[in-house]
Formats: sequence, C-alpha cells, structure tokens
Amino acid sequence: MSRAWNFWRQFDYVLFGTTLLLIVFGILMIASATRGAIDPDLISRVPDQIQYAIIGIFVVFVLAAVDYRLLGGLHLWLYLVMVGLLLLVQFLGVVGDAGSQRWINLGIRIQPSEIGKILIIITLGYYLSQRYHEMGRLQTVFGSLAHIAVPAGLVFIQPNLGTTIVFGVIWFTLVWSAGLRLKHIAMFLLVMLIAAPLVWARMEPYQRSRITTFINPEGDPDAFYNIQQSRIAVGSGGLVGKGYANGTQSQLRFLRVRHTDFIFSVIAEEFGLVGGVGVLVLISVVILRILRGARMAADPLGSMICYGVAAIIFFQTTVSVGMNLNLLPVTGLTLPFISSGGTSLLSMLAGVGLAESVIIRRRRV
Amino acid sequence: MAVQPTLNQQEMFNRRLSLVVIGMVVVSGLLLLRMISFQQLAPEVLNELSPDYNRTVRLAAARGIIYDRTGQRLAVNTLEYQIGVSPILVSDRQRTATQLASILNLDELKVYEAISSDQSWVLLAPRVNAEIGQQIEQMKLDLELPSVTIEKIPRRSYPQGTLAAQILGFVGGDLEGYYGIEGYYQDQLAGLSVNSVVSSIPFEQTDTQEAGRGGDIYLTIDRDVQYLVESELALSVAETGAKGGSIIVMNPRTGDILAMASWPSFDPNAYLSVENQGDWSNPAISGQYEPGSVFKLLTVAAALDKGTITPDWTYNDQGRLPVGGIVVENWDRAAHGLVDTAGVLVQSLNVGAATISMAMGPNDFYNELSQFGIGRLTGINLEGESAGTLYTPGDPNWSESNLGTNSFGQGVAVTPLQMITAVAAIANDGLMMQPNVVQKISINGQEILSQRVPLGRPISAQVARQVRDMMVAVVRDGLDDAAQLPGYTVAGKTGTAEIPTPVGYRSDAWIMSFIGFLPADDPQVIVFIKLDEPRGRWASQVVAPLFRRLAERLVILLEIPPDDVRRALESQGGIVKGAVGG
Repeated sequence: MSRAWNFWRQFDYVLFGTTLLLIVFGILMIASATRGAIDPDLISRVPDQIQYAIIGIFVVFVLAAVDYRLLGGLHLWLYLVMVGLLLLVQFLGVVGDAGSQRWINLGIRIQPSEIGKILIIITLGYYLSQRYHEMGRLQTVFGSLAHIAVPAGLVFIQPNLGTTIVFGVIWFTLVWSAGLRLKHIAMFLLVMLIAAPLVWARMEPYQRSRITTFINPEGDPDAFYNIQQSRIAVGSGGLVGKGYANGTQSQLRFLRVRHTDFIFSVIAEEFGLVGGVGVLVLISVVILRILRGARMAADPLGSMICYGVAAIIFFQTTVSVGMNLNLLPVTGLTLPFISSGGTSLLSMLAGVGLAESVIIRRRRV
Repeated sequence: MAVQPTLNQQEMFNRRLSLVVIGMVVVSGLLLLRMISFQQLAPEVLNELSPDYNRTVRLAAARGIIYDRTGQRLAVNTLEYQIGVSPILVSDRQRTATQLASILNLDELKVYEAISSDQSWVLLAPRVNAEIGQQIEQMKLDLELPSVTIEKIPRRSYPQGTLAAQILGFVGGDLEGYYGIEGYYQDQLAGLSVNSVVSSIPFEQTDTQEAGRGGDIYLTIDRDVQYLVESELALSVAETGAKGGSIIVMNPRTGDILAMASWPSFDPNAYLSVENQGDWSNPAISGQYEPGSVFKLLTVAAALDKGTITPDWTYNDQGRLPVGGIVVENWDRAAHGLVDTAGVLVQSLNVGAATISMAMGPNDFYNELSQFGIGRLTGINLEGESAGTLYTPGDPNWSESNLGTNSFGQGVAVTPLQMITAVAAIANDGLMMQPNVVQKISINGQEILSQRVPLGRPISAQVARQVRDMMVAVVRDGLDDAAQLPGYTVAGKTGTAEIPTPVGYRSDAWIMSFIGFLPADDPQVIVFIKLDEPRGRWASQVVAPLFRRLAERLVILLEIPPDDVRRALESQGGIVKGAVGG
C-alpha cells in the first residue's frame, strides 16, 4: 500500500505531462498535414498515431513499474533479441518507401531499428556501468565499440543511415559520460576521418544524394524541391503563423512527407516562430527532466539509461529541426513525439518509461 | 570500499553533464537563430521564393449558343484540357511516364524523354477531350503529382460540322469571334467577362463573381434548307468543274435569309486547317463580281419607274449601239429588229438595255441604281460585307461608255447579296427589305426579336408587277423551260457575265448566275445561284437547270403549295402560308 503510494509519489509528472502535451500536439499537426488526403496510408495516419500513443502510454507505466536493474540483469537476452530482430529484417523485411528494408511484420508492422535504439541503451549502459573504472583502457573502449557495431552494422545495411548515426551517437554519449579519455576521443576522430570515404562507398545512391544535396542543393532538383518548400513553409510562418490547418505549403501539398520528415515545417508555417519555439521548449523540458533523472540516479546504470534516452531525444530533435531549417541533410529521422510513425513513438515512450523507472528509484539524498 | 569509485563516477558524470547541457543550449540557440532568420526574411525575398497562390483570371462568360430557326444547335461550347508537366517536380519519372502515357495514349518512351528534359515545363498534349482531362485530374489528385499541369481551355464547337460555316464564322484561340455571326455578334455572344482574383488555396474563399452568360442567337437560317443548298452547290461544282459558287435563299417579304452558302468553305471546328485563309470569308456577302444580264432587270425596272419607258415601249434593234466611244453588241452579235420591253429581257439584249439607260440619262439611271442599293452595303448582320463598286458621273473612273455597259451589268461589281436584295424588291411589290440572318437574341431570359427593316421602295408596286410578269416570260419563253418547275409559275433571269482582267475581258470563262422567285404572283422564296467559271457557254444551259433542281426540293421543305392547289384554297377562303410566311 505504502509502497504503491511511494511509487506514484516519485513518478515525474512534469516529464510525463510534457510528453503527453507533445504527443497531443503532434497528432493535431499530423491531422493538419494529412487533411484532405486521399491516399489510404495518409488517411490512417491520425488514428494510427492515437492508437500507438495509447499503447505507448501503457508502455511508459509498465516500464516505470519494472525495476531497470532487472532489465540490466537481462542484458544478454535483450542483446540477443535486438540482434535477432535486426537479422529478421534482412530475411523477412518489408521493403519500405525508399527501397530499404526496415520493417518486419509480426502481426503488427514493427521497425526493429527503433526498438534497437532503446535496447542498446540498456545493454550498452549495463556493459559500461560494469567497467566504468576501466574506461582508461583502450580494450574497454573497443569492447563497447564491438558491442554496438553488430546492431549498428545491421541497421546500416538495411540501409538506414539516420538510425545508424543515432546508434553512433548513443555509443559516443554513453562512453563519454562513462569517462572516455580525451586522447581516445582524438583517436576516434582520426579513425572516422579515415573511415568516412569507405562508408561513402558503401552508401546507397539516395543516401549519398541527400548529403550532396545538402552541400550543393541545386544539384538534385527533386531534393532541392523539398528543401526549397520547407524553407518557404518555415519562412512564411512569421511570428505567429498562418493558423492551424491554414498553412499553404502543407495544405497544398508543396511540402512532401510533411507528416514525418517535414512536420516541423508544418508547425513553423501554421504556428510561426511561437509554435516552433514552443515545441522546442517542451522537448527541452522533457530532455532536462530526464537529465535531472540521470543526475539523481541511484547507480551508474540508471544514469546511463537516462543519459542515453536524453541523447536520442536531443539528437533526433536537432537533426529533424535542423533538416527543416536547411542546416542538416535530409535523413528521414523523426521529430520525437510529434512525427507520425508508430514504432518511433513507441520507442520514444519506452525511453521515457525507462527514465521514469530510474527516477522513481532515485537516490534518497 | 565500493562507495568511493561510485562517488567519483557520479562527480565525473555531473561534470560531463553540465558540459552536455551547455552543448545542448548552444545547439538550440543555433536552431533558434536559424528559425528567426528564416521567418524574418524580407517580404520581397519570400514572395520571390513562394509560389503565387493568387492569380487573376478572366472569367469569360459562357458564350451564347447559336441555333437555327427551328432550334437546332449550330454552335456550342465544350471544354478541352491542355496537359503539361514540369520535369523539375517529377519525383518518379518511370511511374509518372507510364501513368501519363497510358491515359493520354502516348508513346511511353516519348513521355519519359519529355519529363526527363531539363526544361522547366513541357507540353504533353495540347488538346484532349474532357473525359481524358478529368482522368488526368483524378490521377494528379490521387498520386499527388505536383508536376502535372492541367489547364482547361474553353472551346467553341460546331456540332453540324461544316454546315453554314461561312454564316457562323468561328471563335479563335483568344476567345474572340471572327467572321459571320461569331464576329458580328461578338459582344452579345461573349457576354460580360469578369476579372476575378482566384486563390489556389482550397479553404480560402475568393469573392465569387459570376460572369454573365452570353446571349443565345436564333438564326433565320433553316438547317434543312442550308443542307440542301450546300449539297446542291457541291454537286453543281463537281458536275460543272466550276471554281466556286454561291447560293442564297431568301424570303423576299421579310428579308430573312433561309440559306446562304459558298464554295469553297471550311470547317469551323478546324478553322486553322484551311489552305487559304480567304475561305473564312463569306463570298456571298463579300465577293464582288460583274453581274451581267441579271442586272438588266434593274435597268428595265428603273426605266419603267421613271416613266422613260412603258411595257409597250419598242425599239429597233440593229445589233450594234455606239456609246461613249465603244460599241455595244448583243450576245449573238445579231440584230433583232423591233423588240418590246419584255423582249429586251426575254432575249437578253445588251443593245436594248443600253438604249434604255441612254434614254434615261446618267442622273436618273444612277439615281435608280442607288435606290436599289447598288454600290451600298445592305447592312446585313454578318461580319465582312462589301459594298460592291459602282462608278457614277463625277468619279474619275466613270466615262460615258459606263452608262451603256452598266445597263447590262458590265463595268459594275456587286455582291450576290446585293443582287438578291435588289431583285427581291421586284418580288416584294417594290419594297426592298434589308437582308437579315437573325431571328431573335435571347439574353438573360429576355428575347429581342429582330426588326424587319425596309431599305426603301426603289420602284412602285405596279412596276414591280410589270417586271415580274416579264421575268415569268423570261423563264417561259427565253430559257426553254430549263428553270421551269411544273405546277408553279417561276419568275427569273439569267446572267452570263464576262470576267474582267486588267487587259480586258476573258474569252474563255464566265460567271454564270440565275436569280428567280416563286410563286410569281405571290413570291415566297427567292433564290440566287452563281457559279464561277463552270464548263459551258451560257447560264441558261448551266445554272437555270440547277435552279429547277433546287426549287423542286425547296418547295417541299418550305411547304409552298403548287399554284392550282393554292388558288383552290384561296378561292375557298382558306389561308395558305408557307413555312416561310411566318
């Protein structure tokens, strides 16, 4: 009785409430972006998102209730499940929009790379929390690299460049917070510089075109079109925007993939600077509440989990918004909690659930 | 001592965390600055970037429909679609090409090449019908293809094909009417167009100004008569090898034109495909020719009206008459001895006609011709009428010899319409009616009936009857019944005109015409026929039989009863009216 009461007293309602606010706002924006659509896939976006949000909220509570240390103990199994799912994509994958295999159909369509983002935080976090005092040794660093290389490699050959980079970001933030030495950072930078041409050679043409378009936008008319349209959308929003469902760029379909990749453009067009900043502030609140959890966590594993989750949210937000503002190449990463996409929403909420689990079991000071 | 390292860990964690937060703040600030810089773009930069959501369009009113006198549609409106594509906006060339090619029935490879070009816009199909256009619209909507452009083009369509083309005229690409009714009634047919700002934003209500609808025009033309006339003309041209020709059918009582056709003509649905743009004009109202002997009708009527001669007047035909330095001769170059007024027409004697005009003197002669409308526009409600050419004393081109030659239709140029209008005055007891092709115009539910306008009374009713009787004699005695229609009394006159060139008249080709009306004692229809350069030497042999063939069918279409039936009915007090009478 008192345990349950204590449990709900420690639950971070600010974090949860802000998340809910973002999801509701996201559903409204998806509704605006897909208004008047005829394509059945687009029509089903809003009900799908609501459905996934409900499941996601359930996931938050379940994960909050489960002790994250229990999950840490299951790290080996979680790791195997993750790699197994990613392997399944290679054999049973559904070819998606851009010719890449990202989906598998297990009754419902799931995207293992999205699930993998959360699982890797637990497994890698557990791995590092066991070795934090060995961070000065290069073999620990290489061990962690090997740990993430297998799932990241499988995601890369799907191919899904965006999520591969997310895996890289998770790895870097976790090893860095675990105390990665500066000399090792310098070394890895050197390696990356050498490896970049090799990765470039392995990339799919559309992935390359996204980067070349970013560097030289006028080179590819199609991609240039997307960038141009998002720029017009964001730019024409002004201070307070054109009003809900009144954005000409989105309503007239000048913006493509406006319910996912370019949803921030829709927000900026229809709600202007105020709307765009508002969304960023809300996401910042979520990130800061999770980082607060990292600081208060009872043990290194808890810190690592919170830290990883915050890193994913921050990184994806930055990339998605940066892409909409023509600062970064088009990667197909979603805007957390806002963009249409079931698995993405679920994995983000799973992250929030894990953070809540850490926050509930925080250190008593 | 497991606590110590954990604390170290925590300390380092927190230290690194503050660095992370600082990094996040920096990145967020960057995004914020970028967003502000985007949203505070100078309006002119933004306007240049953004597509134009508003455009001003001219909402043309629906053009009025043109009907014949019985309500058959002669000119209607349809929509056509122009399909283009902006290659720069095509995301999936293969798929777009396949879809477009299948609907537009084009070669897929050609479409693929077109949408792969580096041009900003490519025209795929300049004109497709509404059905295909709507399919493309649906496809664009379903597949979200911003690259496909669809423009609706209103188009004038003529369901009867080439029928009455020269009366109707056509509507050009600028939606303006040219020639004929389309040209003459451009303003009434087009209605009021409205300039309206249209937003392409679906939820933005634009001020919906309704453009007015153009007026509908009901012609006096009878589709069946027009068809009969056109097919007879085509047949005659083929039979005689003529280079061209015109036929006009008119009600002499009202001036209503029932049919008017010329060869060659054109298809108003494909007006650009004519070899010679001159075919767009209507030679029946614009083509000038020297009328020849038909003109003697006017000379005789004028002299009778002035009292210069009477029906009993006679002269001694010596076959030659010197006039102003030239010598007038008869068609057979023979002397015909003592000839009376009717004989001048029946035997079609140039010497007789010149004798009469000389007797009248230039003042009276040209005054009378002017009253018959020679050298003046009839004022018919069609675009492109010409006035003909008549030189009168005082004009540097006039010489004394004109007085002689004009009397039998040389040295004077008329249009077919002028000729039939003038002779119609003889049929209509001396009252000359203005020719008219419009029965009524219907604008916004209001009907405006055409007024029948008398152009004047060049001759008295008595003179008109006298000339009429002579024309009956011409058909009966002068043409060997070639133009005679059994059961009817026909009045008529032929003309075999020489064709002037800068160096004199041609001796190998003639313009042959016939003008006739029936029934002679109560004319209900007057017909003008002209063939340009047919094989044969005399109109009496070539054109007169054509009149007969045409009249046979005409009396049936117009429900004109034979003379005996009509007289029997009249004696019973019954009212007989042909279809034309109303």
